[in-house]
Amino acid sequence: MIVRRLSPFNLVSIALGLTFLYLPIAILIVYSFNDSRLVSVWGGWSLRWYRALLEDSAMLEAAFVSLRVAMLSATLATVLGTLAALALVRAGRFRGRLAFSAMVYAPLVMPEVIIGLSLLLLFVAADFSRGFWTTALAHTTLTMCFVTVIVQSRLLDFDRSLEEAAMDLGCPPLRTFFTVTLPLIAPAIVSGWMLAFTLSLDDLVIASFTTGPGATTLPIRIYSEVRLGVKPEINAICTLMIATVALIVVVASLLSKRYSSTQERRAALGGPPM
Amino acid sequence: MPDRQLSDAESAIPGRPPPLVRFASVSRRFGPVTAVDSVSLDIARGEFCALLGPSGCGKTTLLRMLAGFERPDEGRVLLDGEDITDVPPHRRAVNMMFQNYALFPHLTVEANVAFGLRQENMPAAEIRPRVADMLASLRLDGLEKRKPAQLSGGQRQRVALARALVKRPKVFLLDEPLAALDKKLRSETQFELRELQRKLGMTFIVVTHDQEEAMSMADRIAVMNRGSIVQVAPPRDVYEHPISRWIAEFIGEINLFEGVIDSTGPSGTWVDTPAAGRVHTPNEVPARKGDNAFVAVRPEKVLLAPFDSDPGAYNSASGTLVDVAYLGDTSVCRIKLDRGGFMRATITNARRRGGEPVAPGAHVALRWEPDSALVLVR
Repeated sequence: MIVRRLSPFNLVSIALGLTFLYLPIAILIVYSFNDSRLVSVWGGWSLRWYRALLEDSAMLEAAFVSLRVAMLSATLATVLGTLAALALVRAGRFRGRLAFSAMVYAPLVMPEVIIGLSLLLLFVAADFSRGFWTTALAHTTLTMCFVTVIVQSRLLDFDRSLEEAAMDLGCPPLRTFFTVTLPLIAPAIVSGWMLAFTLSLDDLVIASFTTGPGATTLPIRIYSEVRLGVKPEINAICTLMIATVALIVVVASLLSKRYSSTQERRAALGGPPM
Repeated sequence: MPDRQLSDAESAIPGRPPPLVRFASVSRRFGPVTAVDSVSLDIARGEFCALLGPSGCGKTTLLRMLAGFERPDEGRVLLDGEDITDVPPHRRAVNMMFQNYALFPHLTVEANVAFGLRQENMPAAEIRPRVADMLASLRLDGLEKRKPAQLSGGQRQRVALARALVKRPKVFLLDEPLAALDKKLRSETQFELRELQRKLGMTFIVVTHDQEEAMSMADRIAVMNRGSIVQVAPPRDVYEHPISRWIAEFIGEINLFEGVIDSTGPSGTWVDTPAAGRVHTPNEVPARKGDNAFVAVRPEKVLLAPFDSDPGAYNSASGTLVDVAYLGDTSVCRIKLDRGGFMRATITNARRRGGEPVAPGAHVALRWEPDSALVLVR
């Protein structure tokens, strides 16, 4: 590793950038350990808001709903997103491929308000009772395209001769997919799942359109509490959420890094690629 | 296992024991490009056959048709008398070693080699000793638990060999088997592959663009160009008796002189060339007096001597030595001919301190034996 000396200009811009991004979060985390009842007055270190949180059943229930929605929608999105990626990379130039890929990627660029509103109209028109299931479905729609992007990029640099080698050795095509292809793209699928999970966990806009009574997600709960004034408890729950999301992001990036470094090692040793 | 080895002559004669592999006028087109154009080729049991050609000549496509990864648009592929044109790859008794080896990166060496046997639903008790034997015979014992990423290039190549050979295929296909190895390892591996094939008595088909590789390993070389097979012959014949100008130039170095046929018959052929004078060769060619032809002489068959009084009436030329490239074992001399054009001559550096027999700038005489030259009419 070459450590390059940074110029003063670079140092200042890094410091400013990091401050801009992370100072608010750092303040929030520090204040979640504040002993004072007033949000903006420092009263010494304490875990009292975390204890208070444990007794706040409404908040805990909202967190539980959010986790369930995120689990379900991330899993659905991963299955569908992986299938979409396989179709886009492997099915060749089928009729309507361009339209299909445009439709898969649309939620990536569509404003969330519009996705939320259109899903709301759909659920009303179809006479679905809104709640847990509609939110999970909406989040699946939102996050599927992210899984597709990740899995597709892995499939694109997947060495097809590995599958051919498996078939050459007597492995039928479907078994080849499960014994060779799937294990090798698994890191991408897992990081896709994790991304979908975090996106679902912190979504407020779409959830507020598509949820109903009895299925208040955590972001909605927090938002409605904050409107009545910021309670220190909110800082505590937000800190926990940040910790959860950060953990998942770190695991996902480690997974994909491990994958790409084995790929590189393979390329370095394996001579010319096909 | 074949009960005996077939010599080249036998395999070339039709009507003898049926060929193990038969391509019957197979064609394969990719859009407007014809990768393989109506190719027919028979390969005998126990033969080591090389498909040799420049990149894009269709040799890999031909191999992939035998493996089952490409379906011919026309023609049939037969294995051991059976039409396998429509048989999917996983049901063919052929195995292939891929150019990049295609080892499964998530499996250990042992699991890679056992992969093929597992597909046959062979009991684990039977798989284990066979895999262990295979690994030992390819000097891979001790590496069983490694992943492919933890192996050297040569080891990976041997794992790829083991993985395919442990299946005991009827035909073993090798796609550019040595392309990913460095030069030194490559020449060692050439001999090892040859030895392995003799020991197993298995039929090997190797695809390569490297003529040296093909010549050193194969019993028979099928030279391909633009989707067609242009010559099938043992290495010596391909080198010494190329049937066209293209093959002569593709295989090794050669001096070519344009000329006009003076006469041809059972007693040999006479050609008049502007650059190299009158040339006599002992072979008869399908041409008539006045037809255009090329005279081909390999550089190592040209005898180089200081210019003396009489260069001779035919099969000789004179010129000025332009430069000498010292290559260690040999030196390549480039000579500017007095009557126009250039010629190359290779001299063997048999003595350590001999010095150059002739120095650049010297006037030299060039001679070659009648049966060293070749007249090509195509």
